Amino acid sequence: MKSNEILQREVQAEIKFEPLLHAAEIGVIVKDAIVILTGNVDSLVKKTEALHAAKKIKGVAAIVDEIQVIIEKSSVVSDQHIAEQLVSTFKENHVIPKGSVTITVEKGWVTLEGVLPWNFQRDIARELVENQVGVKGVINNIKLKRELCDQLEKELLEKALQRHWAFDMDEINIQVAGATVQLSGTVGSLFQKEEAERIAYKTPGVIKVVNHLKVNLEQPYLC
Amino acid sequence: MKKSNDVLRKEVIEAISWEPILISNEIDVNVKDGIVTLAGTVDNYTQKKEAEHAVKSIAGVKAVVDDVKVDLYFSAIKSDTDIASSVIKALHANWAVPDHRLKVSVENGWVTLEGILHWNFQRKAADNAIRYLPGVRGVIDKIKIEAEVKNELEKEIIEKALRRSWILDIDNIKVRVEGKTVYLSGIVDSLFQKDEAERIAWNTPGVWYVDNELVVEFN
Repeated sequence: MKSNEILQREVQAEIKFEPLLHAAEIGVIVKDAIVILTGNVDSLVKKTEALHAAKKIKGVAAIVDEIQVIIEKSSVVSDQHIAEQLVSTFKENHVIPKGSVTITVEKGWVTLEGVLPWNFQRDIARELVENQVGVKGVINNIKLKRELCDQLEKELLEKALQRHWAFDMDEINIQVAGATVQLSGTVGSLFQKEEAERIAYKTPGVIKVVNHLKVNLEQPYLC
Repeated sequence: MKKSNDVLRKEVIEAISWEPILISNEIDVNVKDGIVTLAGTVDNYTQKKEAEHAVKSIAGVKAVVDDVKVDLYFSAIKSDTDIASSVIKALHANWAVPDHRLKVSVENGWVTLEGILHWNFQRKAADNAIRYLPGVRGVIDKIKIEAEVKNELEKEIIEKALRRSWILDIDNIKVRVEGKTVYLSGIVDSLFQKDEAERIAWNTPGVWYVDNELVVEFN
């Protein structure tokens, strides 16, 4: 396991290396492989980018996100304007079914509600909002539901993970119950943990993925 | 163990049908010496990109040749003027894209982006913003990167950044710097890693171009 100081230095360096975050003042505190990020940034994109950067570092077990998005008075966008822009963005998007997502904007915070068939659509919805100018945060309350439900097949998911370059299937356990997939075992990084969940959400018939994968701190190398 | 063409072809077909967005498509897959050629037609640009992306994360794929054509439904065809206006709107609404530096032109559904940006991530953000728009058949990217900072490129900075990422094994990657260009060579396990190494190199202050000569070799 990397020492707290080394991990802190690496996360700091990684954040500094992202062009978007050059000028951002993000504090990094590390305790037992848990990384706490603090500070203020002027856009949600920067906050997301900082989290993303930290997830790629070997030896990070979890991240506590205490970064705040604070938009200067002069660049505040009115809720009305954000809502209008988002409505038009969602209308222009052909991956998310029309009329399936409800948008509420309050003081720069956007809440998404509704029902979609697939998790990747839910992710795209969040991404669209995150990139919108003036947004401070997203609360994604979109639920998943499908008309036609295939029988969940464990083997299909196993194969999908096997194909992917980032996974060692000897270390990952899959359990299936009803429309739920549970992942357990160990992976080398937070990135892999999230990627495995993303893939599991594409299994035909899945509605919920319970992700119990642990990040292995002793051997963070894959393969 | 190296994967045979047949094994790889089967995996590519499975990986494509795994993507919910591509379930109903007929994409032809050909594999030769680890090089995957995709052909056939899809309904929109989003699907074309997604197919390429799905294949890139398979271990053992050395390169993807994307010959997939976008064949829009009659109802999905939009005028170039409409497409241009939605592209401009999408770029403007995106926080990470300095849209005032970009010129957009559309011809028969093909979107061309021109201009000079400071960073490659801005170019990627622009491409991403267009990806889900209806009526688009493809994107031609003529954006140039000219760094704002006049830093000398520092090889050590790039090497350190590559080392920090768990995704890459720096021992097999060589970094060379010449003028404003970063050259990457060596071996990685997948195209995903090749792309990630390039992305990291593009983040170096002062970079104008990354020449990615990494070879995918899966053992």
